[in-house]
Amino acid sequence: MRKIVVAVIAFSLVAWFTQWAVIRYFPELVFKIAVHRTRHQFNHWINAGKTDANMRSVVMPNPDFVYSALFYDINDKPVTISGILPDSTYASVSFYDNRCQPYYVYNNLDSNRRGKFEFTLVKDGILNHREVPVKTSKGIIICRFLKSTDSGYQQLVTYQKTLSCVSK
Amino acid sequence: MVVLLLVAVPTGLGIAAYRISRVNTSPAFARYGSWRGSKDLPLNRDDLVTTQVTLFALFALPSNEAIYLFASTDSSDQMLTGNADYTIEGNIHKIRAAYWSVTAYGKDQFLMSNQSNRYSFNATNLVTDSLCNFKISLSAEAKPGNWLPVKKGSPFRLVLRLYQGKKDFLEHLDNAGLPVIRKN
Repeated sequence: MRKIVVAVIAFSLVAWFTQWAVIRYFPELVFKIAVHRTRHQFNHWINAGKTDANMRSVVMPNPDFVYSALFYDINDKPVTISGILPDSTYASVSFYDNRCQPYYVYNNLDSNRRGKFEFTLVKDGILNHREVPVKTSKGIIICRFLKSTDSGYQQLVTYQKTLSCVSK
Repeated sequence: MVVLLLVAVPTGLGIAAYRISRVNTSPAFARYGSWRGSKDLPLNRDDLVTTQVTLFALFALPSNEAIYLFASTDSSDQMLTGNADYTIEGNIHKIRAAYWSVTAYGKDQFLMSNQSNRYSFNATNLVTDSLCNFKISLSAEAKPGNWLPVKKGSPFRLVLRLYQGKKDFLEHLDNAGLPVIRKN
């Protein structure tokens, strides 16, 4: 009888711990898979093409957006990213931690934020936005550019080309 | 004992998969007609919700930037499927956000290929009547007006994105006049 009780308790504990670990660490695993799929190219902008049915890099993409992404790593050096946000339509720069969760969004809805932007990420925060802590030394930054018309794609490609990243 | 423990691991994996998949019944997501979503997701505070969002809406924006409302059923609570035709009815002025859109996704959570390359509608490309009322036809067959193609015979899901919604609009989403999805 005692053996059965011990077995049931052991079974329950292992099953519970397994489901807890999966749910707890799934976002980190997804981040690592995403990094792996980009061949560990940190601090390098990836400009996606048109968002359509052929896009398979992320689930539920918004077809009205053109996306650029950068996996950052500030373990060795700070990283400075810059670019230009259009003034005619919605655009944003969003920062995600290594659990794929957002911690800061900078958009161009405020007219002061249209045009050039620059962020320097260091371990204790974003230099020119001191109130924003960089949650993890690795993460992802995503730029979203909204297409105002169906023909607006090429125009947004020029904004994608303004994105840069420097480690120093 | 070793065998028992080896069975416990896949059991735990199964429990995790079951819990994660039950996003439609999660108390973190409120219901507004056919739409489900949250104005304040406990990301990084609730592991289950964080994992569900990672799986079903990877790299979504935070709630203070955008609200995502999902629909996988019509107004009669029946699953949306490409075997039927539906109409989404709404009014542009009632959706008070800086930008909003309705997008259809296949069961694999990706955009569904179609000859017209139409995947979504937003306030700038919808055809409306003089009072800014709109109707979007959801069908596998071509329809006049605002036609949002879906895949024949396959279940699908809709996402209503609300970027920078007005505060009073977001606070009363349950009676804000969100688009209604009716089976034809």
